[in-house]
Formats: sequence, C-alpha cells, structure tokens
Amino acid sequence: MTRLSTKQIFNRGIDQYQNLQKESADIRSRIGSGEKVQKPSDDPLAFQAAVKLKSDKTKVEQYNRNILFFRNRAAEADDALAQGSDALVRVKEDFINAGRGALDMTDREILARSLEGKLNELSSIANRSDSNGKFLFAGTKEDIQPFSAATNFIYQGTRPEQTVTGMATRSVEISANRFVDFGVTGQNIFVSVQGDPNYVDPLTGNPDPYGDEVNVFKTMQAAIEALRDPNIGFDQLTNSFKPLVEQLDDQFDRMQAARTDIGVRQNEIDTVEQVNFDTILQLETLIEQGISADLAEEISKLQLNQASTTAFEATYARISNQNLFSVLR
Amino acid sequence: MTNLTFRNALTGLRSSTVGLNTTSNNIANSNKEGYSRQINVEQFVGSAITGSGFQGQGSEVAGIKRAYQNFLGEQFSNAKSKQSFFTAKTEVLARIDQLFADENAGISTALSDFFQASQDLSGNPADIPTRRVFLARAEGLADRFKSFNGVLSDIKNNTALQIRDMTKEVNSLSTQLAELNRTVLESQAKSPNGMPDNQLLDERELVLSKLAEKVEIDVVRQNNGSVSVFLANGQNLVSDEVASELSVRADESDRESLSVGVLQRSGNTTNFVELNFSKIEGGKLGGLVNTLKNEIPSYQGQIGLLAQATAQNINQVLQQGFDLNGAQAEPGVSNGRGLFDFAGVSLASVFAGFTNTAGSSLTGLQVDYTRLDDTDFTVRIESGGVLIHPDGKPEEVVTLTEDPPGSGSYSFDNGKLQFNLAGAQPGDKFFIKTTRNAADNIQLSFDDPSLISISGAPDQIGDNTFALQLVSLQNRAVIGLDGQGFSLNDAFAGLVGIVGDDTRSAFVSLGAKTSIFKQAESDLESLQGVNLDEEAGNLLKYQQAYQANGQVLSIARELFDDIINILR
Repeated sequence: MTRLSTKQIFNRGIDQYQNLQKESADIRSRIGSGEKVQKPSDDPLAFQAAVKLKSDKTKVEQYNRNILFFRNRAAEADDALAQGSDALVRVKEDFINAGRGALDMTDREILARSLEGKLNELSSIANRSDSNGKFLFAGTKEDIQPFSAATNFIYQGTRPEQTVTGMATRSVEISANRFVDFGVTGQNIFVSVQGDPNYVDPLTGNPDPYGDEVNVFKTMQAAIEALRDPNIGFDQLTNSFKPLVEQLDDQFDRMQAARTDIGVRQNEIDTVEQVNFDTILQLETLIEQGISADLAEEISKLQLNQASTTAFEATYARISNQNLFSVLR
Repeated sequence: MTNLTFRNALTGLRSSTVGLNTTSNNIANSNKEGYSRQINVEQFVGSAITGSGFQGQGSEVAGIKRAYQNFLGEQFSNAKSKQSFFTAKTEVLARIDQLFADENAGISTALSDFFQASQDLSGNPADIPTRRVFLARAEGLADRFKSFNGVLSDIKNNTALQIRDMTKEVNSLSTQLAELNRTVLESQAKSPNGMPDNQLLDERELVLSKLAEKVEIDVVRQNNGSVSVFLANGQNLVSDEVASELSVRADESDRESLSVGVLQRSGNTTNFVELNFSKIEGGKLGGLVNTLKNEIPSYQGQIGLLAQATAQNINQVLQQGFDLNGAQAEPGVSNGRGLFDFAGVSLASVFAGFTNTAGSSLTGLQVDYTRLDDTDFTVRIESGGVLIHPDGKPEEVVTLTEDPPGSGSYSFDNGKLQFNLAGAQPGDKFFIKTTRNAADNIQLSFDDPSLISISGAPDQIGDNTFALQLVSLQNRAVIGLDGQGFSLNDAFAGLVGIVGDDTRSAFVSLGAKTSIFKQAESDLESLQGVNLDEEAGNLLKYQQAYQANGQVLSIARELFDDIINILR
C-alpha cells in the first residue's frame, strides 16, 4: 500500500478542485462568447480555416457591394435612356411633320425651334452626370463632356479602340473572376455611323477626326438647318427629310438596344447577387460549424461540472475533518 | 539487579523523549516545502553479563534518519525541470496565441479592408472621397503591420527581460548551493555520529530542485558529501563551495536577441562561454531561450515577409498606372508612384560577427526575390573563399567578382542575394536577417488622393485597369514557401495555424510533463511527507513508552526503598 502524507491528501484535493474550477471557467467562457474556438491553439485548423473563411466572406460581401453600385449606375442609365427614347419619339413626330411638306417658313421655324429644344433636352441626357458628378456616358473619360456644340457634337468620350482592354467602360468584379462592365457610352447610344479617326474635311482639307460621324445630334442639327434653309423649297423638304428619318429610326433602334443591353446585364447581376448571398450563407455556416460552441452541450457540461463540484466539496470537507488528533483528548 | 532496571528505565525515558522530539518536529514541519520526515533509529545496546546470563541494558537512539532517497529526489527535480521548460514556453506562446486570436489586431481584417477599398476604387476610380478612403485603408494596413509586429517585439523584449531575471535567480541559487555544500560538510564534521544536519540536507535538496526548475542540470554527488552541478552542455555550475556565474549578452547572430553563457574567470580576464540551448529541454530558462530563438523570430520574420510582400506587390501594380493628373510613376524616384515605402530603412538587418577583423564590412546588400520568402543567411569567410549559408539549406561557395571589387551574388530558389565585402578576413562572419525591418517601417508614400495611379491611360480618369489588378492581388499567390504559393491572406492564415499548432503542442507537452511530474512528486512525497495520523500514533506510542518507563523507574525506586527499609 502506498503511503500518503497529509500534505498529499490535501494537495490532491486542491488539485482536483482547481481542475473543476478551471473547467467551469472554460465552459462559462465558451458559453459567454458563443465560440468553442476562441484562439488559434484551441483548434489550429479550425481557427486558420475561420481566418480564410471570414476573408472569403468579406470578399463575397464586397462583390454584392459592387453589384449594388453597378445597379445604381445602371438604373441611372436606364432612367436617362427612357427619357431619351421618349424625346426621340417626339423628335420623330417633328420629323414626320416636316417631311409631310406643305409648310411655310413660319411653320418651319416653329418646328426648328421645337427641334432645338429637343436637341438641348437630348444633349443634357447624353451629358448626364452620375451620383459622383462624373459624366455617365463618356466611358472612362468621365471628366470630359461627351457631346457639345463646341466640338460639333462629335462624341468625345472613350472609344473601345483607345483602350488596352478594348472596352470603353470599366468593369467591376461581381463574383470570383467574373466581371461585368457598364457597357453603355454615348457612342453606342447616340452614334449610328462610326466616324473615321483620319477623316479629312473635304472643304478645308484639314484633318477632322471622326468628322463624318453620324449621331442623333448631328441628324437633328441637319434637320434644323434644312428647316431654316430658304433654298430648300417646298417640295424638296420631304426629300431632304427622308434620309434623316431613316437615320433617326436607326438611332432609336440603337437606343433601345442599349436599354436592352442594360436590362440583360441587370438580370445577370441579379442572378449573381443571389448566388453570392447563398455563398455568404454557406460561408457563415462553415465559420459557425468550425468555431461556434454547441450551447446545449456546453450547458450540460456545466451542469455536470457543478454536480461534481458540489459532490467534491461535501466529501472533501468530511475527509479533511478526519484525523487522529480530533479523537485524541 | 535494580541497577539494571534503573538504567533501562532511564534509557527508555531518554529514547521516548527523543521520539517525542522527533515526532513533534515532524508535526511542526508537516507543511514545510522540502521537509523530509524524520525517524528515530534505535540501536541495540550491548547486554550485561549477570548471574542469570546476558541481560539487556535498555535502549539507545543512534541517530535521526531522514525519509529521503536521492533517486526519488532527482526524479522529482528532473520532472520539475522538464515541466518548467514547457510552463515558460506556454506562458510566452499563450500571449502570442492571444494576439493572433484578436481579429481587430490581426493582419487579415486590415487586408480585407484594404481590398474592399480597392474594389470600391475599381467601381469609382476618379472619385476623391473613394480615393481618400482607399488611402486611409492602406495606411490602416501599414499601421496594423507596425502594431502587430510591435506587440511581438514587446513579447520578445519581455521574454529577454525574464531571461535576465532568471539568470540572476540561477546565480543566487548556485551561491546558496555552494554555501550549503560548505555548511553540510561542517555539520558532518561536528556531528558525534558523523551524520550531517538533516535540515541542511533538506535545504540543499530544495535548492537543487529550485535550480532544476530554472535550468536543466546534472547533479553529481561526491563521496565526501558535497554536491556538484553541471549544466546540460557539461559546463560546471557548482563545484564544492564554488559557484560559477551565468550571464547574458547580445546574441552574435542577432543583436536584438540574447545569448546566455557562463562567465569563466581566470586571473583578471573573464570569458563568456555561450551555452548552446538547442538541445536543452529543461528549465524555465531553457523554455524562454528556446522560444526567444525559435518561435518569436520565425513569426516576426513571416510578418516582415508579409509586410514586404504587401508593399512590393501593391507598388508593382500602381507603378504602371496613371494618376488623376495623367502622370505616370516618376522616373528616378525609388518607389515611383508606389503606395508604400519603408522610410528609407533597409529591410534586412546585417549583424557582423563579434570577432570580425576591424574594418571588415558587408555593405550594399540587395535581395531580389522572384518569389518572396523569409530565409535568413549567414556569410562566412574562410581561407578557401566565401561561404553562404541559407537557413535550413547546405552551405555554398560564392565567387567574388572584381566589378566592383569584393562583390558577391548568390542565387537561391526564390531570388538572388547581392552584397559587397570589404576588408573581410578568414573567420569573419555576417548574419543577414532578410525581412527584419519591413513590418516596423512600412508606411504610406503619399497622402494626396489624386496621386493614386490606377488608370491604364493618361486621359481616362474613369479607367480602373490597375484597381482591378489590385483587387486580383487578393487571390494571387505572391509568397513562395517550399515551392508553393500563398496569397497574402492565406500566408497570414497559415501563420495563424502555425502559431496555434506551436501553442497547442506546447500545452500538450506541458500536460504530459505535468503528469510525469505529479507522479514523481507523489513518489517523493509518499516517502518524504509527514502523515499526521501516523505522527499522532507515534505521539501516543512515545507518550505511553515515556509513562511506562517512568512507572518502571518508580517501581525500581520502591524496590530500592523496600530493600533499604528491610536493612534498617
């Protein structure tokens, strides 16, 4: 039989008591924080995984932030294009009226002024700013006004061939390695015939890059000029307007195509956003599984610990009262 | 006949008095650390020849014995030593573990914040408020590196401080031990029965176990009764009445760290003989030095590497772009239009050997990484040439070129090391800590938001080409370790895993060593410790013996009186 010293008997008791107390403190800390893995050493693999998963989660959350940002811009563009289409319909009415003939110069001036008003309306739509005060339809040259009388209404924004990426607008990441570009510029909304960068003005012989570009504004300018040109006679006006109406139809179609384009992109990002939300949920579940405490389990452990502590206290008090000196008188 | 009875009673009275003394002393010391219970050793007293043959002449206490065995004592000390090693280690590692547990202090969240700001910038490249947030996040990232590494440095300094204190404690214990060697021998010489003072022996064993708790030792018990102590590498710490002194000095290979050694005095000169702790697995000092030399520099090296990788990769991206003013990276400016710089501080620290030739130097150190890693290097000059020794890899000879004179270069797996040696002689050494200063000095290069160069073309402020490249850095493997690549966040996560593993395994070892210690403690205590019930029994035993002997004396006296009365 092993000999036990009195100190040993007491120390063993104290050791056991301390173990019970430490266990109780650990359980209460897990319950309090809701996490069973609170520091790397608790479970190195789980903690390491959580660091990665949390970073992944932030990443995916950011994708949805990018989507939100894209959606805001797309809504701004769609809104502008709806107003633009509306204006174009009214322009077309003026064109049809003009093409019908039987107008005297006063009627023609009234039509010209009406068109001038619509030209201003359309150019303010084309030069609309986004929420940050940057031109919405200038491509990446967003500090440059895309269309103005000063530059003969030739598109001044970014053209795809001027960029490394071949895209006139920037793209943002909406899921891992998946990018969506804003896509619409003044060029693909308003320009119907692309100009030649090496175009030379046939009258002056001077270089006039993109001078032969055909767009909504130039078509309307031509219409206004024709209406005001007294040399264009009563019967000639119909003929002059025929090609202009064709141009306008073409331009209207382009604007609708741009709107469709934006709509398609919006549908696409809606799907991606939903997938991202699912991914975030999955990541949260994984993080939870890795580091969260099972409260039911912890509470039952705590109850067991309390029962052991109570039992220990009772027996310890009894045992430590027993010694021969207490019976010696 | 009554003569013998008197004698028996008196010796019996004396023996039981000694017994009562011993028992009461045991009771008095029952809680004293290191006390060994004492036991009366009664010996036979020669018999007297009487008319009835041989008759006993009473009892005699030959001496008082300690309940102690050197074997159990040493087992206890060794187990305590091994446990203390891990106690010290876990105390330091637990602080680091806690640091890595704190998400708000970690590099990971700062990286995430920075990449979020990069994403926002990709959505809104020309927007000044967005650019300001980006700069603020970048600065937050740099600050995080500094503060994170700062906490590691605090832990390192604190560990070094504890090592200093610990050597002082060891020195105090060695001196006590040498003094006890002297007093034990003295008491032995004075003792009539040649047995030294039990209390001094207990004190000496206690000092030995405290010494073992601080530092791993070998104990040699001399025949003359004195005790010699050797350190694990064979250095003598205490020999008879002489104690050597432990001391610390800056580490040769890393002046920001410490070495522990024994001071050897001969005549007027004192030599510092460094202790090699690489194989030591005992003592608090061993645990502290082990952590100071292994885990802490390794973690700091990796944080430095991460800071360097962060700055380098982000700078590389931004140096290709155009800023809001349409300007590209400035030629001739060291970091161009990079986002981060290191305040002009060299990223690597170079430490020259203590015994290097005067005037010998290694300068112009440049490390070009194809893939970042945190390998440190030692450059050794030998008569045969210059040797370079990457940590954990074999040494290689480097041929110096003459253009410029003394310049050497060494290609390793992940890059190329270039340096310039001047005046170096065989025997000289240089220690290169490649990423030492990165985390402490990383800072933002500029605070003008318009200077962030993320556009792919000078006239397109809305272009986000390089913001997207920044974003893609988040997933790109930019740090190479053992041929595998890690992204910045994965590299940090990997380090978190390593810290967790190291800490956990230290705690597991501590648990194992603690059970061994508890067993050894129990083995010793069950021999050495006082059991009060037992002593209560002894008390009764000696009390009754005393009373019985008194009774014998009383009867002997009555008998004597009776005889006297008969004769009267």
